[in-house]
Amino acid sequence: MKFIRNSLTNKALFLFTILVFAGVILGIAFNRLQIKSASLNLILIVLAIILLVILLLFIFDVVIPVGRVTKQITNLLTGKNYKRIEPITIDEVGVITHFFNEITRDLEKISYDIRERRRMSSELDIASQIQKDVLPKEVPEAPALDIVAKTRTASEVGGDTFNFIPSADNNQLFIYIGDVTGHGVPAGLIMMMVDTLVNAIISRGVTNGRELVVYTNKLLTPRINARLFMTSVVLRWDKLHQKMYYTGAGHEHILIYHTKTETVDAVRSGGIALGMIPDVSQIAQEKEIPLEIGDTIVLYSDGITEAKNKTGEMYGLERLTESVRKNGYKPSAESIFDGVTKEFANFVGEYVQIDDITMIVIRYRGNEAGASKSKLTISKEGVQQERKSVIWDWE
Amino acid sequence: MKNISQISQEALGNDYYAIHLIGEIDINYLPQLETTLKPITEMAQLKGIILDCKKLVFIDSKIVGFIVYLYTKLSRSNQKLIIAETNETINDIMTLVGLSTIIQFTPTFDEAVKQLNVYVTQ
Repeated sequence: MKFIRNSLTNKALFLFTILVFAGVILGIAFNRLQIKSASLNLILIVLAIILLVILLLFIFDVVIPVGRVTKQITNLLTGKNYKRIEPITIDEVGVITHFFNEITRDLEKISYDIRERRRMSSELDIASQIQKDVLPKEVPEAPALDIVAKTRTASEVGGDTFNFIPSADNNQLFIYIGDVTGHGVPAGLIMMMVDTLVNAIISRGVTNGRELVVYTNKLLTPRINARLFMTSVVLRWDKLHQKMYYTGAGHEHILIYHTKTETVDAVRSGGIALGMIPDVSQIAQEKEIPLEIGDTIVLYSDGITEAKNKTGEMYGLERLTESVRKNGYKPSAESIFDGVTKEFANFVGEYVQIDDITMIVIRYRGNEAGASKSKLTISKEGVQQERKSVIWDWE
Repeated sequence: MKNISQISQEALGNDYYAIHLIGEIDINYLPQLETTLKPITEMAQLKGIILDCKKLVFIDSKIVGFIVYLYTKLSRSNQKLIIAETNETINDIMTLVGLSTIIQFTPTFDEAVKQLNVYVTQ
């Protein structure tokens, strides 16, 4: 029976065979019984009954199942509500019904995934916007300084941060850069946490960078996973005495361009990254950076020094230092920034950005004639595609 | 020439292990590093681990993060972590984030073994 049920052709052959067989049997029967007078009507009635049975079998086994699946396929194609059908045959119609059920199941899954992706993408856009809103829009008043700061995330949400926060008495300006392990949402959440902590701690009246680092670390460490940490450098600008101090928290080097000698010092920031151990009070130290008019400080995240070109070569500290040395003579922080980032972009070529990158250029201009309010530029590009350095040109 | 990166383990007696890190160990090798170290850190008799960095060329911040996690985990159980024979680049990366202020570094692998022997016999 299975041979007949699993193919429409077999079914048709079977029904045709029944019809022929019935005709032959009837012929033989009439001949043997010598029913010569049998009316044509009787023969026709018997044949009609057999045909009717065959027709009913055909309707129930083929026409109705095909109709059911065709209706649902039409609904699917025209965007109407459709429902899955329980296959009642195992022939070609049954296979089509099963295929329809599977395809609609897959379509629903794909459709769900697309909706979920859209939702997540929309939430990431919101997170990205919130993170951008956290970054400073302008530098608080520090007329002796010319500042440019920019950051670019490798994905929608980044782990790099920076900020400029005046002390409670407005006599100091805290400038910090931070880089959380890795990038993406986990790093972004920690970046937001640290930014909030730093703002809160400064508003409570800390007087130096060391205190800021110690308190931030103390509050951060118990709240984050042991594998995550944030490297940072906190600069403190004493507005009254025009002196710059730094406190390192395991961050990259601080590059200092001396305008007199046209040389660059790469100073180890020192300290230990935030979040590694509960108490850094014995490690964190605040030190002065002696500055003369025209000197420039460059802070950066490791996304710059660890960026590679297409041959896999890293940009590295040496190239960055040399670039700062070559561009340090320029008259403004913006022109220095542009020169350094152009050289960086030329080096990495079209290699895809894999880590967040941030750079702050601070030029000490003293009380130069025409000194105006410090300038701050923050890159604002969204990130929906792979970052290539041709669009890293921060101009 | 491209570096061949590799992570392998070596039992140094019953109480301590050496993890040999070779080449460029970055985030892509983190799962392998975790898998290698998980059974070791779960050993009750473990007294310490040496991270042998003699042939290590580069590590990224994720690996540094894992080393900090490993240090924290071992410290809680009074077990020791020693980083041995780092080259200048690795030393720079590790000292920059402040690892050298919390984890013991030794100039040679033998020195690390000696330090662990002293620690184990204490």
